Amino acid sequence: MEGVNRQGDREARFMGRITAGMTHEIRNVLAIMRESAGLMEDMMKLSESSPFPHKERFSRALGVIQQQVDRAVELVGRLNRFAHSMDESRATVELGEFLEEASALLARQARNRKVELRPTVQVEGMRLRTDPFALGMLVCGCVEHCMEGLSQGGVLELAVVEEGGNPALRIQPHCFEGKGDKKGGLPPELSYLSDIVAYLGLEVQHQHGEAGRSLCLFLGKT
Amino acid sequence: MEQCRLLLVDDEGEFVTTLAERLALRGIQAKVALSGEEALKLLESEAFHVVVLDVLLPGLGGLEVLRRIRGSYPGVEVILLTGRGSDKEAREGVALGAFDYLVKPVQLEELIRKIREASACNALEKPWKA
Repeated sequence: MEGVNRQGDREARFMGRITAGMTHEIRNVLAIMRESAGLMEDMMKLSESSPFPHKERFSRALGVIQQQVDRAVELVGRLNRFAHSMDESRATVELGEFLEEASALLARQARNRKVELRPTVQVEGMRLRTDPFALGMLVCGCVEHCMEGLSQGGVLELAVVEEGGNPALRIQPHCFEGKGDKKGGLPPELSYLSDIVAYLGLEVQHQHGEAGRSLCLFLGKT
Repeated sequence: MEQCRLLLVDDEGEFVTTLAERLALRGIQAKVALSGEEALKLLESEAFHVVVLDVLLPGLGGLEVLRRIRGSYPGVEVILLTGRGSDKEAREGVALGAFDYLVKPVQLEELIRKIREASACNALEKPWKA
């Protein structure tokens, strides 16, 4: 199969292309803002000996502009990488970086739910040849599902683990204790992602507990 | 060492002129070109040690400009500026002979360090023009 579905694939690539182009333009805007704020700082330093009303306030405001430009650069960088994840249907993914990226993309949703996403790597350097966009869609759906299970907020761990010699991604609340058996497949609420699971050739297990929901994606051989 | 002669090439006029102004305040004089064509014209008439070149230029693209610089001006070092998260084009540029690349928006100190490295590496004894 070329993609999750041909029409969706085509649309995703189109969105990716447009988004990547826009992020490039935003980077140019940020570059101009950074240099202009930098030039104002330079000018203030040059006039150090002469009186400059509200100098401290100006200096602080310029510092805030620089900080916010840095913040926006990081956000735009993540958006750009996300857009480029639609470029190729096969690519090598470093799983630790992948979880880091996924948790950054979901940071706003997490903050709204008072959830702290904590990506952790129990096994370093695990790589997988896969469709990065499809895997991203699946993992983000799973993380959102587990966040919904944390009604009071809390810490949700996103971990790269090893299961039976193969890599796996485990998403569960910190100090999770399962209730009942682990079940194979996606929970019913995530059935809309089952075609992606089949396409990626993964196995999934889920479990409920007092403190929330746990999901494990078995990724097969790296 | 002779003072570094720098050419900044970017179609974002506001960015490149402000950058040139800030570099001048630090003692680095730079000429500005707003297109690849303009950069190549300037290179025909003046000698530069280092060119800071945006990869995404309208018209003659950054990588094509790099190719032509490498072909005609072997003594000139090129630092690429890329606005992309994916560094595919930048790596292609380095394979084509660029000195290095930086991702936009760059930190000024980082750019100056890179210009100094390129300028030191730039063999002033190398012929400026092929």
